[in-house]
Amino acid sequence: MQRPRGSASSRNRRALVSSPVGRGFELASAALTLLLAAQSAFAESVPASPGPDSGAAPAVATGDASPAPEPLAPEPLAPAPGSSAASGRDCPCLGPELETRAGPTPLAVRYTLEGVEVRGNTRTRAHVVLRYVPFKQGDVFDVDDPEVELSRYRLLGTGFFRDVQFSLRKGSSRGWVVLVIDVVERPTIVLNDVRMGISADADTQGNRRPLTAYAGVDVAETNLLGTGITLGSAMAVAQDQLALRVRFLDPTFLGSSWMTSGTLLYNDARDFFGNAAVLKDDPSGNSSSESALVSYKRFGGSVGVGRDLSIATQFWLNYRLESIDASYPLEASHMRGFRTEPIDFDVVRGHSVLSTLRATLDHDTRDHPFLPTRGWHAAVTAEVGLLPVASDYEYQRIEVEASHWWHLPWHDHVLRLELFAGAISGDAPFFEQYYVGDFSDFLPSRVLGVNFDRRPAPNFLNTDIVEVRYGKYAFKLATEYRIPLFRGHRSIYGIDLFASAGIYGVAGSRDITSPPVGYSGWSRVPVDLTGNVGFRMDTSAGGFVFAFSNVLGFIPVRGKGPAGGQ
Amino acid sequence: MVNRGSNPKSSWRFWLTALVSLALAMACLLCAGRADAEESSSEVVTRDAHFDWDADAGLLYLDLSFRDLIDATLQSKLSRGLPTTIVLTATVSHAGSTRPLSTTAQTCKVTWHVWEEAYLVEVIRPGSSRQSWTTTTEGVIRRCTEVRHLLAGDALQIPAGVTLVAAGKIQVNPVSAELLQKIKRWVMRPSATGTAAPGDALFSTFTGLFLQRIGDAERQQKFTTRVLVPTIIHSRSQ
Repeated sequence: MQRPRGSASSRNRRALVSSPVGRGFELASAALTLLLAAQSAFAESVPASPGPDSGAAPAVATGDASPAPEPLAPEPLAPAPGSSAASGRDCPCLGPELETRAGPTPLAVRYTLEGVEVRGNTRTRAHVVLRYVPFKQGDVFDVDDPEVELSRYRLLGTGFFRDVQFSLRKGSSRGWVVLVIDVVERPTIVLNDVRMGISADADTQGNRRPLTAYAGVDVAETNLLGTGITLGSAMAVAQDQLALRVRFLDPTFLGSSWMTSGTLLYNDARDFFGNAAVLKDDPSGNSSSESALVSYKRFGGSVGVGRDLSIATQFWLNYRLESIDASYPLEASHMRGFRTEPIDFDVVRGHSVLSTLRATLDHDTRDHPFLPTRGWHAAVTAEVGLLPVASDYEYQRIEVEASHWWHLPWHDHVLRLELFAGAISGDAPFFEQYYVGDFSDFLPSRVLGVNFDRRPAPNFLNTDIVEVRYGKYAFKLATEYRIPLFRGHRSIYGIDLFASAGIYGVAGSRDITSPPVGYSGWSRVPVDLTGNVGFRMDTSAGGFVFAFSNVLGFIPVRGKGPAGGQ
Repeated sequence: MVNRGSNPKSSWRFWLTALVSLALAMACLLCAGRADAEESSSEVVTRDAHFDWDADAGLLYLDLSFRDLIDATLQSKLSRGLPTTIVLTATVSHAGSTRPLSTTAQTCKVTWHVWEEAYLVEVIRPGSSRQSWTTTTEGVIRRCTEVRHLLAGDALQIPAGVTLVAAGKIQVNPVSAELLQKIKRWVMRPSATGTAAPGDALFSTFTGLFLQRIGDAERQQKFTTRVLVPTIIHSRSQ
């Protein structure tokens, strides 16, 4: 007789209980596992002294599994097939309170699966639910298979459902069952990100103006029309600036193991160039101001395919095509160090095309997406501008970033170490280069690629970092310490107090080959310190960060370089 | 020093924005505190219990009931055909002390046999295991939630004649650490759909709100008992 397929755990269990010694071992290990798992903090354990029920002979036998559609019922107690017990509660063999004292003989309860039925789904299609369930018609179904519970959590993890319950009901003939999956759907529009802050920018003439506010929001429908596809949109607004993006993600393209993504973007933005004493020649004539403005529009998108290489590793390949329309002064100069130099805006005047191919390898073993306590998150990205495909920008980029989290042995505190290094060669447009505000917490970072702030970095180390706005080389080494303040299971899952500190550097080719005049020694190395303090909140609506570095960034710290810029 | 804030209007706006941000942060923290209060109020319940001290064998036994935990929702789950496990773990301490003297546990696994239309109840205790069949939910509840004569310590651990208190938790379908880790890794979706470069602050990939809801068990209740003096019994005379 052919044995049906069983789970590894059930196979191991049969081996363990094949002898009285094995039975005793299993009992001891089960009890120990429960004790250890339930209360690891407990100091001592109860000695395994004989209890009042021990020593009784097993009254329930474990039979071998068989492919016949017959559950492995306990032979001495099970009602005979076709008896009245199969159809009602008035079992002639089993009294309502019949009890036996038995040894630790486990029962492998298995059925043959007649089908899988999905109930309660009003929007989500049944085939989307079944993607996450590995059981199929004709399978031998072991009720103790851990894959059952794992499948339930897989479905909960999609975010499509508020509740998921599995149950069995009788099939068409004895021993056959139908796996019923009851789901309760939940709203699948989620808030991915909200950003608010204050920035110092300039008016359309490049002159400094009072502080202005900026904001960004990102929402997504993660189960579009019940197909499991994510469609998200994001918007960022500031004075005279607007950024819009729409994103699409199909985690199982045409039911395969490949993922596909697509992005559409539109930026109507501007950026601020020049350190100090900016002179410009624009169509309205020569003028001086504190910044030379680049006004630009970007419109385009990207498509990508990805695949899980393992449970923690993904590979993505993305192609991007953008149309860029930029305008800026015909000529402009500024003080770089103590010397007046021309401003290189690093973007083609008028219309241009950006076409790139990017590959990303991502490894993620974090135990939590927002408040991780252990694990790695590392990514390697390579990007190349596709000049033959009508691109006006030929460049190559390579980036490596890695973060590791440690769960410290005292009070669940967490330590994070973060490393980033990137290099660009060629003629990348300025918005593709590294921006100091993305590395310094004291300046607003770009949102959807839009820059809101004209200020240089704070310059704690008194280096020529104040002369750098965009660069082709960047690194960052930072650490973060987190202290849990609250853990819950309702609307707020966790609040942590965090403090971070690090060092970063951003440099262009010119900062390396021809450092600004007026700096000497180590001050010619464009590096600076960064830090932040605030709260991280993990809520049912998403993760939020309340940080104070944005406000602290307005406290002047050695704000003047040799050129007197700020 | 750099002359910032010379414009009184900009200074006014700055401080207003800072004040609003601070107010928002405080509001969130207050909400968190409220949630904390809600949860803590239902976290630890006081349960009636009873200790027996077997003077002949030098063993301490615990009697405890938690019938109320098995509400209608859980009762309906019992007959779903998949195993339901109810685990009681407890520590015994001196009254007024948090240092445990001993620990004990009971596991009750209930499996509804779909074709037999009966529940198989397996109760595992320190040093013993019992399997029984019942066709009624009441039979299941009695076997799993009315804990009688649960070995909770011996003479080496528990000094005679002292007042004791038991504390612990009851879990329904506890999730093993291994399975929990497996679930979390599966649910986690790396945020690699965008660029790895800084500057793309939005579009951090949504990674599953339910990850945080996966706790140690499907349902959990912490409990403590009142201060109790064990009743002396003599097993040999019985």
